[in-house]
Amino acid sequence: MAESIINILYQLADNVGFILLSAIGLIIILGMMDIINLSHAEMIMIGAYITTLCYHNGVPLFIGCILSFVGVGLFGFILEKLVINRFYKNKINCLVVTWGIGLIMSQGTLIVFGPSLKSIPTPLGSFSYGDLSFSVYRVFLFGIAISIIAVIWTFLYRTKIGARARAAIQDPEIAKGLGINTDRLYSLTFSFGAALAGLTGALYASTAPIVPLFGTKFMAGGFLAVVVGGGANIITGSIGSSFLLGSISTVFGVKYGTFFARISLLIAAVVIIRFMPRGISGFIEDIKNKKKGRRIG
Amino acid sequence: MINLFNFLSGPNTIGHSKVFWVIFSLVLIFLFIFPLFGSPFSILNITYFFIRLSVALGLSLLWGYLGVLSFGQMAFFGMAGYIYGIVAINLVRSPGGTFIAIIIGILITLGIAAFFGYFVFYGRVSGWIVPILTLAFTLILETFMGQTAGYQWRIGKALLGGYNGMVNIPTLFNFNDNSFYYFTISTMVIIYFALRMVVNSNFGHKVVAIRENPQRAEALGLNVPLVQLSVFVIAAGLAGFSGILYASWANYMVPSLMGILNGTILVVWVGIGGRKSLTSVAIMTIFLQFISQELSASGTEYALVLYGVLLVFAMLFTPEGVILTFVRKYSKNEI
Repeated sequence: MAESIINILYQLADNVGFILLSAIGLIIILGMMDIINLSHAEMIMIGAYITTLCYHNGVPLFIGCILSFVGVGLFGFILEKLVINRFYKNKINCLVVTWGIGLIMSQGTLIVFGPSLKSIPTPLGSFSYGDLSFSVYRVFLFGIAISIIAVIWTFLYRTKIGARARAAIQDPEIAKGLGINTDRLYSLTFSFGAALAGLTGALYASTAPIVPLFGTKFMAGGFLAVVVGGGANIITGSIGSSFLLGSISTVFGVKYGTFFARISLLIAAVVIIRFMPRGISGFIEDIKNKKKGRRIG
Repeated sequence: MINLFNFLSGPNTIGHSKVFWVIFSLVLIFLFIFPLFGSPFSILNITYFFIRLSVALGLSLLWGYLGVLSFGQMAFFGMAGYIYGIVAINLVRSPGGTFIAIIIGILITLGIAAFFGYFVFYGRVSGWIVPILTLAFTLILETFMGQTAGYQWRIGKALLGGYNGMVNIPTLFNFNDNSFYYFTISTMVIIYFALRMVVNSNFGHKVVAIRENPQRAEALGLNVPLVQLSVFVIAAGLAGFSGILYASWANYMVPSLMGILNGTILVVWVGIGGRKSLTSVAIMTIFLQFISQELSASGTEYALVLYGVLLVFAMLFTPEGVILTFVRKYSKNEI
């Protein structure tokens, strides 16, 4: 009994961590800028490539992760300056253009680096309980995911820049009028979202084969988490959706296998948006506003 | 009948001038006499290009006219193709089996699209949700079909076949080499005409009104979710028809056909030409397939990078699409 409980908790931590890390960059960009970055999966892939190439050249894994974070963040910064900032008025076109960029990135990687890189071993070994053995690294990733959320929360709710960022989310025009540089804010947000994607790729580089379509396996979980979480509030959206989808995925995964876990995620997302069209975070905001007696708009 | 034909032209289409219809008729005549002198290979090739017209026009209706982008059209394409295959393989000995297979394939696809569309459109979600959900749908369906290798994954006599795909799917017509070619071309021409009538009809005006401003359309008394759902289902049906023709043409279906890359390619065809015009989409779909086939000799990745670059540049400089922008600029809508 204790074994199966520990197993389920481990699976839950693994799933929640995976979904949270897949989605966090997307959710931040959606929450702050109200756009979707469809090259997210390819940014994850680039992060994994940077870490892997570093590792094979003798750079420690930890430094590789930092380089991925910085490198992909810089890439995001340039991308925002060159392309993305022209699409703030037309959000569907923004989706299409980032999709095209993603296509260039993945197929370009295939041309430059070939079909795969030599993979790197998973660090930190494993622990066992009874007959079951668990990877320490997966639990570590869960910890990292939660820490990232904690850092973002501190930034948004405990710093001056964070307060400005929240003001810009609530009403970009008035924030501008009060002297907040929203253009710079958007540019930094996009870079930060990209950097987090790079970090996710770096963290998961040691768990899967390094191929140009590396990012694809993060897509289903990540995108569904964004749909379920919504962009109304970054913190409640990411925590709520990753724990909800992580639990669903764990229950179905333990019972029927990983594939049915994925189908259950899709069906859950479709049903949830019928009742919470703005996702969990939008739903929570609406309840808050109702309590305050404000009109929901 | 005359009234019906009047719908062919209107504010929502290009291609009204005499010049256009002359060129159109010449192309049609060329296509109908082509089998007299064309090689069997090029006939197969042209059929292949035209098969995808239906799914592309469906996406044009959905994305261009209704303003709802979907990455899931190739999923409906693949789904219908597989269902056609399953039914046709099981009914291969019964007369008319392939026609029953078409009907079942289309009906199930429409049903799934309606189920999916109901939750999405009646939930009144914001614009980015549909592309993201259909993307997830495509990814999951491709993974599902990919893991169906082995003897336990069989429905009647049909093996699903995992990543190697389903083989030995019966062809729609067995009696003559070129009949499939003629069937494909003529159904595509009929679909093209029918859609031109739809977008210029009363319903088409409602669709465009919703694209321009959903709130205003709703305030004017339109049932917005119902119109959105109908267009979504129509587009899925058109995608399914393409898929069935493909399964019948190639005699096999593989999961990658409905995968993420093929879904992307479709968006590129529709996005580059001018999604708000059926004619632009039709021209670009045929043209880009031809180009990518030429490029694929040196590896599909080069064609895909080119597609990506074209898509980014089209979105940056001619967001309405290359052909449509050109026509609007130089002809003042008289083409």
